[in-house]
Amino acid sequence: MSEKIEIPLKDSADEVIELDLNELPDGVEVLEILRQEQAPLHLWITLAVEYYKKGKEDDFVRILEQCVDKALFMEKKDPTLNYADFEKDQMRALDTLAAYYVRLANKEKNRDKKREYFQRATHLYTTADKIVMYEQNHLLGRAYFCLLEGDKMDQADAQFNFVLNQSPNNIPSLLGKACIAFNKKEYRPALAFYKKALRHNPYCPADVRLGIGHCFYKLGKPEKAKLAFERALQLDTRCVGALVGLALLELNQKTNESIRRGVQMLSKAYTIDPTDPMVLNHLANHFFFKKDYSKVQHLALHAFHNTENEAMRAESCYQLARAFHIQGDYDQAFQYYYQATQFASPNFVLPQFGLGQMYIHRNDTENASLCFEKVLKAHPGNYETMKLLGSLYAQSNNQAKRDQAKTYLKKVTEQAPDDVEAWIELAQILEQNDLQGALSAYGTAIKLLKEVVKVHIPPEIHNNVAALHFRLGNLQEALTNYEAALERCKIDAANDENYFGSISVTINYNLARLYEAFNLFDKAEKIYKDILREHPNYIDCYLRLGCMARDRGQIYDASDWFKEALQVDQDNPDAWSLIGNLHLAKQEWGPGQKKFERILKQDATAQDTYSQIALGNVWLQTLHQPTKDKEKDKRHQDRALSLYKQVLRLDPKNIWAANGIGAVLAHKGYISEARDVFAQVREATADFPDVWLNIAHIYVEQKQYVAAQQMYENCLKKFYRFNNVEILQYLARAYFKSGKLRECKNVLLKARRVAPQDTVILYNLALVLQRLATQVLEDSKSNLRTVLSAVHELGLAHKYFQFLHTDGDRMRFDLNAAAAEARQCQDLLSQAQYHVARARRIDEEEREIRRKQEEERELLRQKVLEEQRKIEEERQRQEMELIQKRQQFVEQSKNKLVFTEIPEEKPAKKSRQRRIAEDDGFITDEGSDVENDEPKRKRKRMSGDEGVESEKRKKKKKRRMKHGEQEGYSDEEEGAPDRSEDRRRRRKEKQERKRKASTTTKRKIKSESEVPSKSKGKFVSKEFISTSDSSSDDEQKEPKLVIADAEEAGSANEKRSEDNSSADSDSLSASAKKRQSDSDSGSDIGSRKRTIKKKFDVRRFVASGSDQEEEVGENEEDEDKKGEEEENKSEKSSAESNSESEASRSSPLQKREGSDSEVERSPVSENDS
Amino acid sequence: MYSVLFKEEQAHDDGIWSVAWVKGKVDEMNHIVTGSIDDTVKAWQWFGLLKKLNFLVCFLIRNEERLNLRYIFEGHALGVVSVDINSEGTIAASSSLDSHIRFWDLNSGTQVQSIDAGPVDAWTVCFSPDSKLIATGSYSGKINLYNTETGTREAQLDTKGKFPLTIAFVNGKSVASGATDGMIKIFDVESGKLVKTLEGHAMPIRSLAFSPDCQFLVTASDDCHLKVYDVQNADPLRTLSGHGSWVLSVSFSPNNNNFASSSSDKTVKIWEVRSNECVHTFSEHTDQVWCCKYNHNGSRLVSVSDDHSILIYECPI
Repeated sequence: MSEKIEIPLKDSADEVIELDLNELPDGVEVLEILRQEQAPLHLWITLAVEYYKKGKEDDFVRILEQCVDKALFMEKKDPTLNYADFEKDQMRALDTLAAYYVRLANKEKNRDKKREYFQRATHLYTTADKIVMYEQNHLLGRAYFCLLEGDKMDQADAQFNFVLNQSPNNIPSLLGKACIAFNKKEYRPALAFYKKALRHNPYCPADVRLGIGHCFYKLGKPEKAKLAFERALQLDTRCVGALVGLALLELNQKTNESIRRGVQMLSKAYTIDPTDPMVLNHLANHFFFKKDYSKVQHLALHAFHNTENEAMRAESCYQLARAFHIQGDYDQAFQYYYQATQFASPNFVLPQFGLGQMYIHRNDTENASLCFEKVLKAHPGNYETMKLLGSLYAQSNNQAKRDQAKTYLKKVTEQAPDDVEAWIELAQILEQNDLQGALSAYGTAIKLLKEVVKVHIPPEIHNNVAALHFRLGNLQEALTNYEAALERCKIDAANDENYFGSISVTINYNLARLYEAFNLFDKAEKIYKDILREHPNYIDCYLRLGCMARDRGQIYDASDWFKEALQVDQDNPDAWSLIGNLHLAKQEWGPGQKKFERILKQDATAQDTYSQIALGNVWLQTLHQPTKDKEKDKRHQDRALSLYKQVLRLDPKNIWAANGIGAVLAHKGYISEARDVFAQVREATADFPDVWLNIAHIYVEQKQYVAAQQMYENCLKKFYRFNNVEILQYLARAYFKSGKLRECKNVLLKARRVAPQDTVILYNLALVLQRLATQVLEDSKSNLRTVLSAVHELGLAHKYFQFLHTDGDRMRFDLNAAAAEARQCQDLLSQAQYHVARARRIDEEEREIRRKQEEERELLRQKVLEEQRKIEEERQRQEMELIQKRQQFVEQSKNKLVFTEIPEEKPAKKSRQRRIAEDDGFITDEGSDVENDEPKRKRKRMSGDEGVESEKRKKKKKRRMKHGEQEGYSDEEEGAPDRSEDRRRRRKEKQERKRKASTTTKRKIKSESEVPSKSKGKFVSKEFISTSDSSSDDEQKEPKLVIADAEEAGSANEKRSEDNSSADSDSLSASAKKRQSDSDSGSDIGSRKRTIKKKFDVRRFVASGSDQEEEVGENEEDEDKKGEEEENKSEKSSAESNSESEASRSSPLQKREGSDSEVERSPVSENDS
Repeated sequence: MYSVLFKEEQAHDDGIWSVAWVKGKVDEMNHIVTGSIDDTVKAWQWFGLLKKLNFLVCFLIRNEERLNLRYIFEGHALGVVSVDINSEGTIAASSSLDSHIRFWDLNSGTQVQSIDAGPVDAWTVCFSPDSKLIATGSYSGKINLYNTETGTREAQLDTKGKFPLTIAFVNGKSVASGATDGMIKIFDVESGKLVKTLEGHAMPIRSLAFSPDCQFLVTASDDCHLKVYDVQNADPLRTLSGHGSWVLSVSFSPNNNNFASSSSDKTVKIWEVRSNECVHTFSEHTDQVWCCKYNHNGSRLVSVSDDHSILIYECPI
């Protein structure tokens, strides 16, 4: 059927040129005709549209452009254009052309061209705007334009609304609204709009059905969606969108059949439109799962080039990257992932995930974690991402990130409580600071492995669990776990001998550490040696063997072991530090210093904080020497301080450095500041005996002796189970200073019990004995017994001093001081005779008085007895009289019986009465004279004569009763004397008290008179001490934190041993997963740190190396000890006469030695600086 | 079964440093003597079970095993370091830090003899098996042998070493000492000559003990270890570890099979000679255990500690 368009000729009213639409002439020709005939605009447009419909877009454009030109520029001049609908036609021309451009732009993939088209369209629309603003079609076009241009959805929406207000059933705007709603993810309204459109125009194109299908799909109604897609397909068999939709629906059913059908549909869509990126991407996706990666690449690339849509491009990039990823081409994959992330919207996170994986592959955890964080932002709570992020952060050095890792992993384990891997990861991160938590996490993992996964627990986990138990102190648990681990290793060794072999070495090493903790050193040693036999390069075994030898006191063996370790690794810092510590322990400061400096010279260990602290401590030691050179003192202080500070810069949490700084502060005299520092250190850790001691020293310094004593005692109890002589001496010193001499003596006895060979203790003990004796003797109240024992002890002290004078250790104190003390003891002893005599006299007096009292008491007692006896005699006499009387009476009555027998009854009655009377009398009798048995017996006999059985019985009863009474009475009798005795005692006490009071007053008077003379002697001797050998506190200006002790060597041993134990735990923590070599070294550093920190109380040091100098150092040390001794000694006196005691202290000899050492030391220290 | 039979709390006013246990040959009495830092020596009597009693009776009178305080000996100053009882169970000797050795009659409770050994010349005391001599170490590294009857010094053995902290007799002929430097010297008493020198420990030896058959010597040291020597060849046989601190005392069981050690780590350990293994650990004390001693047949063990208590254990023979 052919339609015709008639173009009216310009000059004639009826003539027309007929154009058959089916046979449209060439566009140029038509244009010519139109222009010549000055046809109305609508004809132009109609024709143009016809051309468009025929697919001749060039002609369409040409005609329309001419039309628009004409309409815009010639309207006024050309009268033919002044017809009624001119504006409408004009609008139509503009809109049509603009719409065309928009469509072009939409199809165009080239960005620049696209922009150009959009510009033209915009231009045309704005021109049209000027003509009629609110024409419906114009608005619609404009709205679509906005829609297509993107990000002007609201504007478009507004325009659609406007149109709909004018004509509520305007289909295009309904569809537009639907589209907007869909894009805004408001699927339900979108569906409503689509349905409305469909209602008004049931024959609208397939696109509407497609939209409805998408809405249903999004709303989760795949059945309805499927119907809609099928309907769309019926309407338009070539509708790619519907095909894809259907294919997706089929694919999502995930059955083989449906997938096959889906793929068929996709390929059908592909044949229809081989450039549709959506189809291509979906196909690529499909082939990815089919593992046909080359096809994936091909399709995805095709898709990528066929779309301008960024989401689509991201998708295709992602498909490409995924293909490369799985093929192992990580560089390509990385590129495409990266591109995909550039294109993708923030919600499409899959490429981020892939990119993160690529970063992990490249070991770029920083960026990887960024990627995963983005993923997590889009999908908070995504389990895999959290797990990945968790393990990434777990390796971070940043504490905050590690904490985050912990929270992530915790969430993961909450979400998926069956994920063994996550539990293990969590356990590993908790190992760092929450041992208990880590343990329970491992416990869960083990449970899961056993119950869910049903595999054997790998030895690594057993090992880690054991290490945790070890650190928590559950040694038995640790043991069972290690054994289980070894068991497992043996079984698994069949599979991978190398791996499990190396693991079992580690476990064995850990087990040996555990045996050490159990004190089973022989077992540990055997394991270490076994390990070394197979792995001669296992340095830690050498070090442990060395440490064990060292703890046994076998210094040379230890040194050999450490050197053995150095043969394996020339620069092993741990071995060097341990050797250095051996030197320091033997007070060979120079060689020790060199060892640490050697460590710091190595590049790898130039920042080794342990060595720095060790060196700082060495400088601190120099401060313990008496020196006249204040400048030098200050220099050494500063040097130590700067080393500590440097360490703190490197490691702000280093408590040993802090402790060192506290010590330097104390040396400088800033006691309270030092105290604050120490307090902080102790807050940080309670497992650091030196800081306890330092705090105690500070307490002593501040004269808070009770606190100091408690501190020392707690330290002793907590860290040393045996009698640590060094600390005992500190404690004794604190007691001495606070005047508690008895406690002091007790402490010194304890020290002497374990170190009888130590003459310094003996000296101190003698001194305390002397003081105690002096006190006792001065105290006039002390009784003979205490006086005698005091004198005995004084004698002992005297003996000791004499012994020390001749046989004492010349290196450790001044023998002359001992001699002086001995002399003083002698003096005191001679005075003591007087005291003894006095005490004895008092004692005798007391005894005399006591004796007199005794006598008096005896007299009194006798008197009382006498009286009692008299009373008794009287009573007996009375009784006798009574009895006699009764007998007389009986006689009389008998006579009466004989004489008057005639009135029978009467006498009977009488006799009964009499009998009763007799009874009564008997009772009273018995009541009166209980003690006498004789009369009773007599009476019995008599009453027996009278012969009444019942009466006898009665009597017996009564007698029994009376016996009771008798007893009661006698009790009373006994009680009475008791009371009287009590009274007497009380009296005596009173007397005694009185006597005592009198005697004490007497004594007081006496003692008052005596004191001056005695104390004179004492003061003299004190002065003697202080002038001869009081410590030169003033000169040194050094706080007397360190007391007299000499047990540096011994204590150093202990220190080292302690280090080991700490090292143990540290290195044990090394899990088998990480190779122990690196972890152990780390831990050993920890252990070395331990060693060093404790030098605050060690006093002396020489900073140079040769043997000679060492000797000098020892000498100095001895002087010091002596000084300290004397400090101890002169403490009391110095309190009384400070100025005197602080007079110059050292003997000429000491001075010389001191200066010698100075000379020799200075070059070295220069070198150091 | 190893078990704790009896605990005497607060047996002394302060830590107890030393204990000795001998069964009297005449009076059949279980004498236990303890010495403490509180300057006193206490003589106790242990009432054990009679062997003839059957099980039920044993069960009924189980609580009858008890410790009776008999005498408190006073006179020492500065703490009693060491006590010993002669083999007859009649005389106890004690030494204190004031370097006095005192002898006490266990029957009458009186002091029978006192030796003033000079300022630093008495430490641990040890009766010779015939009870005629008593040995003690001195600061100068010598071992002094005193006549127990007269109190005079009979002989002096020079170790030429450090302070001998502990001394033990071997079958009456020789005497061994362990010093602060960890050296062990064995002398012939008769000739006074040094017979053997054993190097073992690098730290002070606190105690040593011979097996009754004189085959083994066990030493206890500050290095936390015990060492077992073959007396005949002077060979170190075995080093035993297990204690976590100084080992303060060691005592050989009369049955030759076991020995016991006590330590600053508050434990008492029983070892088996044959296997050289620790067979039991008592952790009853709350402070360091200074001394432990077996009874006459090795069925009981006594230990004393800084926690002021005396403990008596049952040991299977």
